[in-house]
Amino acid sequence: MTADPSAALEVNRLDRSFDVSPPFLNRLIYRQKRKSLHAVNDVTFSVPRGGCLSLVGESGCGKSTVARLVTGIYPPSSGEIRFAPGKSGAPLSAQMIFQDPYASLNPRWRVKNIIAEPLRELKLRETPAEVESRVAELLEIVGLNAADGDKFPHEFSGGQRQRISIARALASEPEFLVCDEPTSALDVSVQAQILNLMRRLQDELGLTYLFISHDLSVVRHMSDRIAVMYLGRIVEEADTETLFADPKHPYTRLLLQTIPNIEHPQRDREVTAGEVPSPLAPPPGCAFHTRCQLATERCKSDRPELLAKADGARVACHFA
Amino acid sequence: MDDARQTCLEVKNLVVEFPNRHGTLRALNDISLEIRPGEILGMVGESGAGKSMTGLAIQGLLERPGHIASGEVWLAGRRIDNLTDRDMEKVRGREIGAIFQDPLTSLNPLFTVGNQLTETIRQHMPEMRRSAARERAIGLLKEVGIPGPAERVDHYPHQFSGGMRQRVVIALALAAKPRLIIADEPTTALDVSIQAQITGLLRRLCKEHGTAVMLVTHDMGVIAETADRVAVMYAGRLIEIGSVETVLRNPAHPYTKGLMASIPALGARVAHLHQIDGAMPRLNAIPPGCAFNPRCTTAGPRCRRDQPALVPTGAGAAACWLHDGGVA
Repeated sequence: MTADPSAALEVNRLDRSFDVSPPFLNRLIYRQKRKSLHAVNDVTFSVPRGGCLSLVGESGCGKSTVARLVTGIYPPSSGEIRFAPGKSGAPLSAQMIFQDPYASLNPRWRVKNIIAEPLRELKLRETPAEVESRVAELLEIVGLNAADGDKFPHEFSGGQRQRISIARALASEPEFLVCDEPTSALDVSVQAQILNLMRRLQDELGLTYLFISHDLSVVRHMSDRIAVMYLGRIVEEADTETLFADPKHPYTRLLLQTIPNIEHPQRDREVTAGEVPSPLAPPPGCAFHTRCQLATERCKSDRPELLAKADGARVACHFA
Repeated sequence: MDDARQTCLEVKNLVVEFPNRHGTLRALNDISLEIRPGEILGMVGESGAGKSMTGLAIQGLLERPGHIASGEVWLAGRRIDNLTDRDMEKVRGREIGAIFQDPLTSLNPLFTVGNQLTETIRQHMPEMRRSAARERAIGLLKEVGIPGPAERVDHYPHQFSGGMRQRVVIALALAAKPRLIIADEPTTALDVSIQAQITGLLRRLCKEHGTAVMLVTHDMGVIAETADRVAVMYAGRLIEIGSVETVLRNPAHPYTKGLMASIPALGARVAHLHQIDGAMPRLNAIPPGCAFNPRCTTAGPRCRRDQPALVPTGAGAAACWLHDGGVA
């Protein structure tokens, strides 16, 4: 893959497996084999500068693992992750916003110290006075008060805490933000505040987002392009409007069909599709064939490649 | 509805208080509602609004020092809020089934699901023989859609997936054929495709058995697909109640309106979501008048002075001065 100048992040054939073997003695005594969990399998995508790509899928599909690989929390087993040069010429820097604002802030630290930590650690500001004024500025960017810096995290509500984690992520002036389910721990009325804040920051600071969520209505609101993952692989990737108007993979259709629709509830539909198979033993062929109504013999043995379609979508299905 | 026999659960002016050293916190303030047999009442609200607390108070599971300060709870014509702990134990499980959010923590990991089901069945129907109870356990697992129930009955909870575990929990709640099921966020821990299966199952079972359900959730989508009527809670009070169509499509209270508008729509994409600024007040800092007035765009002087009561608004009822003589 050649470097695309318009892309902020290019991910090429990314693989990551985890060793989930039983302990050494168990293997020796009970003759158990080594086991590995292939969490991310041959994932390729790119995120355009200033855009937002969303990864969606159910738990265990590998979307959070991709987020952690991109931010370097896990090293990849194989494949490459390439950030384009940022404003300074060096590869642009990424930061992450986590799902649970109750667990991701140190309860013993004052908010100003939480936000100042990256500034001090990376020596982005020289004097304590400069650090302090930058912290105040960051708090105001995310819609809090500069005086809130003296409080502790427990004095804030969930939505305000998520604002604090956004301020912390912005402290090192990143150009790329990885957001792992940033609103799923929040109430609906607060979720709207955080989503609006993230959109505003994207416009004002020219941020690029990799957005992870299982909530398709949130994803639709935030993203330009969506990649649907199933058991570690991307099964469909398309522009937001294309994906919603013309979903091509049967799994995408299943996901879209199961979103509760507030305007037109379908109370009497019978959902019969089963559950996600264990990622420890993914089915051969197309991993979705166990739940797919279109599945044939070919799907059980022959894994479909992710192929580009005329409208710019990429789909991995024999019938698309 | 006026017929007393037609009501399964009736809550009258329920007040729950938590005394602490700084004073008394009123967690539930004057809640009145009723559920008919076979009806699903959705309870929505933000975290801390009191929706789970209502369910706990009905089941007599309030943690001390929390207590029911006034009001009454009636189940099928019998008052249950003043029962002794011993009598209440017989009501729980037998007459009121419970489904909790996390299906893993509500099952005992050390017993097979069959053991847990037969124990519950025999607890409430002591005359039933062990073998008959086991048959009934298998029947229940089949009813909640678990494939191969005859083998699965001897499996442990960890051998089930999240969705299957929640089906087991539903089977447990149904075991003694209760009149009322209180389901507290039953689908929150599940994936969307499983969530639709579980809400569909709950709806089918409650219609078939004529069981009343109180469905506590913060997810408006789940309410839209499952509930018959909706009660919206805010800061410990019931602020709107009505049929699901009325409350979701044509809400009367400004808070419900804002809540509905702040959900990203699937139909059309907008640049800016409607947002309700601020956050719900904590119980120790509820403003005078209507608790929603600091966040309300239509608040007037009366909203900051007097607390509105639930008044009929045509198809439902809402607690807002807009519907009760104006905000001025």
